[in-house]
Amino acid sequence: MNTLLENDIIKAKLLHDMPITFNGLVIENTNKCNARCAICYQSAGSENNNHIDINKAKKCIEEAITLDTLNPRFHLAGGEAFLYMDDCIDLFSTAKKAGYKTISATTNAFWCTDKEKAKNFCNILKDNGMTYIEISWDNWHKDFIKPKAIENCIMACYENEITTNLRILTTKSHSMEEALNRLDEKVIPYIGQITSSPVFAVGRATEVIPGEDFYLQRGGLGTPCYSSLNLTINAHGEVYPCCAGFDQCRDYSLGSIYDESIIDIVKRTNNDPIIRRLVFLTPSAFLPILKEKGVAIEEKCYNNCQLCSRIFSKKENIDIIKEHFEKRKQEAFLRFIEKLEAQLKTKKEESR
Amino acid sequence: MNQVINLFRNFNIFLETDNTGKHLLVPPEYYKHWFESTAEWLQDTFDLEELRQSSLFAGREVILSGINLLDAYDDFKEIAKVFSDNNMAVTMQIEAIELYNHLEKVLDLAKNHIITAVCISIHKESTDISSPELMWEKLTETAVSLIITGAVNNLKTLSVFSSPSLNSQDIRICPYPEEGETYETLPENTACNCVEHLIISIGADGFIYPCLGLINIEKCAIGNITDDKAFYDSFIPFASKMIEQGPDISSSGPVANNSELAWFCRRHRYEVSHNE
Repeated sequence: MNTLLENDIIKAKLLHDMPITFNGLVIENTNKCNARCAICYQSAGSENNNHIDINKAKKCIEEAITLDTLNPRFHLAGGEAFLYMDDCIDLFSTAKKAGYKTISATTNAFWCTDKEKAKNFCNILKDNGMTYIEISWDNWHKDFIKPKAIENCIMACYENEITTNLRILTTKSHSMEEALNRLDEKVIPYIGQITSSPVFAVGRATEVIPGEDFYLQRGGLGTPCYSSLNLTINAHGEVYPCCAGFDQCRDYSLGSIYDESIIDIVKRTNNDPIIRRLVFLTPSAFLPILKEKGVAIEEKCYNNCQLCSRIFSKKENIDIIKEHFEKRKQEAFLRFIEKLEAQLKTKKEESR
Repeated sequence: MNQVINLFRNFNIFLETDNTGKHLLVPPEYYKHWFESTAEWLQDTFDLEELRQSSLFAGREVILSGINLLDAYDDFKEIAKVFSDNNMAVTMQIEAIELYNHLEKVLDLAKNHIITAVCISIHKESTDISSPELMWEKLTETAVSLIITGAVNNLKTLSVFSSPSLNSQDIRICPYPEEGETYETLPENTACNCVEHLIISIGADGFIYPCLGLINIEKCAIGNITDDKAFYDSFIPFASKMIEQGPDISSSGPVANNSELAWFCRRHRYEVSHNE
């Protein structure tokens, strides 16, 4: 096991030398959803109406794959991405032609209520490059989506060799077992994998779910997230380094695909001291900066994503952090000038 | 080329005990030597910028699997430390019954950050565990990542879906049909590049394979860790082809259902094993 000093050296090396790399490109083509689940970290619903420009999105897909720091994976999400079926197929097809090796999407499977239509549509998706699908299902989706749609989606994907991930969220009152018991048990072996996580206490969830029902404080604040980043473009065309909450922190977007190319945005991000500190040293690295200005993050966080969201969802926190780094930049510049002046003085004295 | 470099990012290593049952078949020092010589080969073959871009310096993982490995606990721990000391995340793959019988050793490895994840297989023999919740509770207290695989009925018998401890954390579960083989034919439209499935895999005898699907098929081995140096130069063209096009496989006929492999891995393994 590394000593504390060795850990500090590793952290310093990462912070200064390591390029920021991405596991894939994620595009959220809309923030509209036909469901309105209590646990949605985006607080998505039918009242949201942002829908990404399809041509801009396609251009990003084609450009992003040229990045050395991006794994050739493309993922489509929402809101509910499949509200715009034709766009989905167009984006998958673009990703396939561009050379992405894994092409996937997240969906609530509302489009699978008819078994034959589900199978036919999965066939089209497969033809257009889709290899993997994440299906959202839990206690909160049940009010909007029929279990039959989930079952049909699982089987249609299985028959088309599209790997499925059934994504379940839990609280103390609502378990994986409860969610799976609502499905025909015969389809469960055909699911590729089930991933389950506790609900984050952010956004709409905090308004609807009692505080004591959340699972909290299970460690996990020590591990940085640099190896699990996704280059994310939200429904507004704004770019973020992940899709686990930061993509909703609109006061700190890395740029907009409507104003500049994704390549330029990524290059700039790699040199952004705030993003580098966030991904290599964890969001906890900002707590002393905030504390110095009288801001304390009191609530216990389940993991880094939750802490990051808590910090960066407030403009006042971002302003404090930006000011801190601007000040450090100025101080570094002044130190540099002082050093130059001292060197100049020494040379003058030596030449006399 | 980044994708070829990325093949060396993670490893899949199978281990086996020797006749004594107290030591591993291939001693730990060979793994250390192999890891170091592979690192040297990577540095000699690729430039630093390429290695950096591929994230080869961080976010790496090794999976250690085998049966009754904890009977050779000291050797196992030493091998795990070869990788954890080099900042690789170590996943231990273990049968549920072995985990239950050696829980304290696994907890010790987790608490000392020698392993960061445990992949637990639940077969029928494991379902006799009398108090699974206690096992889940102790494991989740270490904050180690968990992956659980098994037939759905076996998962239910060990309360995987209902466990308050497992529901309280991030977890990945791979459900299988009831144990036993089923046959299936290939789908019509096939997308089968290997990029998501290629991972350097080492058999219990030290032979090195380009992926999990070809493990223990000796003619597919690219070397052995007990040899003096790494020898991957001839591997790069093969790997590049696999990444771009996938394996050469025929397009019809039944293939057995081994749920751990993607269908084209199963097909490729079947055809390679049965061809001269």
